[in-house]
Amino acid sequence: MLPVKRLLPWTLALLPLGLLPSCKDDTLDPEGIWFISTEEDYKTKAQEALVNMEDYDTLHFRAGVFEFNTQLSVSNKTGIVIRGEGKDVTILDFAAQVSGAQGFLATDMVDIIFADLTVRDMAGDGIKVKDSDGVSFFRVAAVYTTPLTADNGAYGLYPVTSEDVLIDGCYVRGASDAGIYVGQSRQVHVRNCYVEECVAGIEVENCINADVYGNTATKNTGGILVFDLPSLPIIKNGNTTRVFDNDLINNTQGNFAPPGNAVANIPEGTGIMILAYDGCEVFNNRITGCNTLGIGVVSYKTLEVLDPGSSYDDPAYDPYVYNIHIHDNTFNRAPGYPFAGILGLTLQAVYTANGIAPDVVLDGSFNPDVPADDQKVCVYDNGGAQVANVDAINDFANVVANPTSADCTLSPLPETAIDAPLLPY
Amino acid sequence: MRLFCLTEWGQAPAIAAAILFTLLMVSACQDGRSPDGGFSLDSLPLEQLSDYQLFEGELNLLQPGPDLLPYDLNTPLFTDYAEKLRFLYVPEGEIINYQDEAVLDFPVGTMLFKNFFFYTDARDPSLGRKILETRVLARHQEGWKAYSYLWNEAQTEATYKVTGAVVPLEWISESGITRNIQYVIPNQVDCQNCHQIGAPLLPLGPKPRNLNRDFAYPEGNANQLEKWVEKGWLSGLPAVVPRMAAWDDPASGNLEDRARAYLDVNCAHCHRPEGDADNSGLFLNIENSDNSALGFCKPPVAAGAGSGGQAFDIVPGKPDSSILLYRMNSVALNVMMPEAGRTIIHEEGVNLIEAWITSLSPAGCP
Repeated sequence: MLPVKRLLPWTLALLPLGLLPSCKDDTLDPEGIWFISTEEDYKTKAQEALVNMEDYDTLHFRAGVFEFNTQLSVSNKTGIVIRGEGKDVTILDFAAQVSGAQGFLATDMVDIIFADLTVRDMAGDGIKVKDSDGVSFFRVAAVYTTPLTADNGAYGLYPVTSEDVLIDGCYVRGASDAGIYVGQSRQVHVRNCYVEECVAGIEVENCINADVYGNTATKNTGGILVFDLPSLPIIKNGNTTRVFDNDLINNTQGNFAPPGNAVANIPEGTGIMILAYDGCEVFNNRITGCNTLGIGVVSYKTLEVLDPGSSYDDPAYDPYVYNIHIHDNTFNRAPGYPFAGILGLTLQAVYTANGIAPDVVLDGSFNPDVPADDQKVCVYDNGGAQVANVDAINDFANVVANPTSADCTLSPLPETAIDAPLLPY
Repeated sequence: MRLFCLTEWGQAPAIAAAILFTLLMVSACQDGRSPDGGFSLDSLPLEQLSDYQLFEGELNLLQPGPDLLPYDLNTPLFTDYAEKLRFLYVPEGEIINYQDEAVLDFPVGTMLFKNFFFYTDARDPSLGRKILETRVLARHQEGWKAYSYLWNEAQTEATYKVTGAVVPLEWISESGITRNIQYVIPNQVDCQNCHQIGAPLLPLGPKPRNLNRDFAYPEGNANQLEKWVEKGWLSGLPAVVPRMAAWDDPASGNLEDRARAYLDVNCAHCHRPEGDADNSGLFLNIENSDNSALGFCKPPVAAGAGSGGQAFDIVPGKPDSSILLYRMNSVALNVMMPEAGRTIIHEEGVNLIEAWITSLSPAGCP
């Protein structure tokens, strides 16, 4: 089936020969929009459209619940829009999935948009977009309705090795790793999203230039993670991420990530965690009831000490943190939280005396080959928040409250420019 | 480029029609062959498998005509124990150029036909078989394209389908077990996801080292590559051609050779530096000699439930602690590897990789 606009010249040419093909399809209109409704053979038609769509066409799911038993996939197209009529009314349900590790997989796209729909109960990840330039999600939900277990899919919205990525107004629930995960990508905005009951709410991993703002992460194990992990081949070391104007509320979910994954080390009760990253500015966030780690700044060296399973062999990877600014955040935390996980239990052991961990915890590791001025971690203007250097690398031998090393400032990071596609209608 | 579609070639209206078709680049012709036997690439994919007119007799006999040569691979991809019959078509007068490491440099117009079928009872092929799909890879001017054909229930014809399908299937295995599966025929995009090595689409199997083996032709046994030279299809065949081990034949290579062959064929279409799993950093292609990238003591990346609670992709000497084996040994969609192409566990493949990991000197991952 082809959009009508492209059939017309053929049709006219073939008329004299009496060879008119019977390809006309009523589900299409002349604007290159492929409408799919629950009242037709949508399983076939949706995937057929994804193969046959021309650049700048739209696949439009009408309202309703569409049950798919295989992964939907699209690749190598430009300007494609995949949309519904609202994330509460257009539901793509994958509960009966028999093949594919994602609900939706898009690869090698230029300017792809997902908008106004929900993907639900995938066997694995929700929507994965790989190796693409220009990726936008508007008001998309990825939901695992199942109980929170390691069997749930790892990532809800999952752009990876891509550039110009915008995730706006989205909702994720139930992912066993990160609800919204952006990996090894450049020029990223994650904004105005609501993520709950995942292990990590939002994770930016090995990315260069990202802004994460206006989001709410609640009831996850950890709210927002800015990580650099080893052994990733495309972007070895990320840099320059801003995390601002977010609400991190009661991220107290027990960690249900499958062991062996990096996020399995996140202690429940984490607001924001920065791991082995270069250049992160965290400001104007409201951190409420994330009682283990309000904000944690950790090198991968510390992770290796705490969890031997996280060792690696990757000479190009830099395990330290550099140029971290934490300022103008509001903390509202309380004592008495039951710590858990390797990091949590360790902090509990260190802070049994008063039962409350500091708002900002620095692991205190330090790259001996780099001047101190080039690896500042500055914490300031956080309304009386408590800071501690816990000397994790030396088995917490020398814990320092409100260390003078953190009493510094850094120039603000620049806004991240992105060129992500916007909706045509 | 030939673009003739109508069988009544001598008639003027047909010529006019053909010219008009050419001008309009119409691809709706159902008969892709010209009188001299050539193919119009613009007419691909043809609607039915029989339209290619490359098989003789009843289509389901898959009896190759004079323009097709059957071939086999030392180590094939596992796809739910499906049996496969592969055929090569090279346009008349065209030449395949030999390349050592990569897939052979096939000329424009080449087509590969791969037929997937199951014996009703694998212990007794005379009881019949069911052909499920025929995958066609065609070398166009701009690169390879993949087309999938679904066989009908009557086994008389296969029809082009871009969306793939899920087909309930029952058969009796070689060990006498009745198996029931939902056989998954991939959609066209999924074809690309495996066959896209870097930018272009490429065939996966026909590399010299995997083709370098004997085949029982009707006229007698012969080395496949030498046969292609004899047929005038292949040029530049060197005196010494690399040979991949047959994963299930200990005479063809030692345990390591066979395990690496198996991983190369079953995993490395994605797990290679140019492949779809490049973001994982796990490279299982046979050329890779970096043990860390091969998975030794390597933490998983984005594995999710696929980690199985283990810390490393491969722990030398310890198969039970190796994520790679765990994922081969699963059919959960968010765990199993490869992600596509199978719905059941390849027990013999698992046994091979388990034996290989067991044989590796313990490196003592932390």
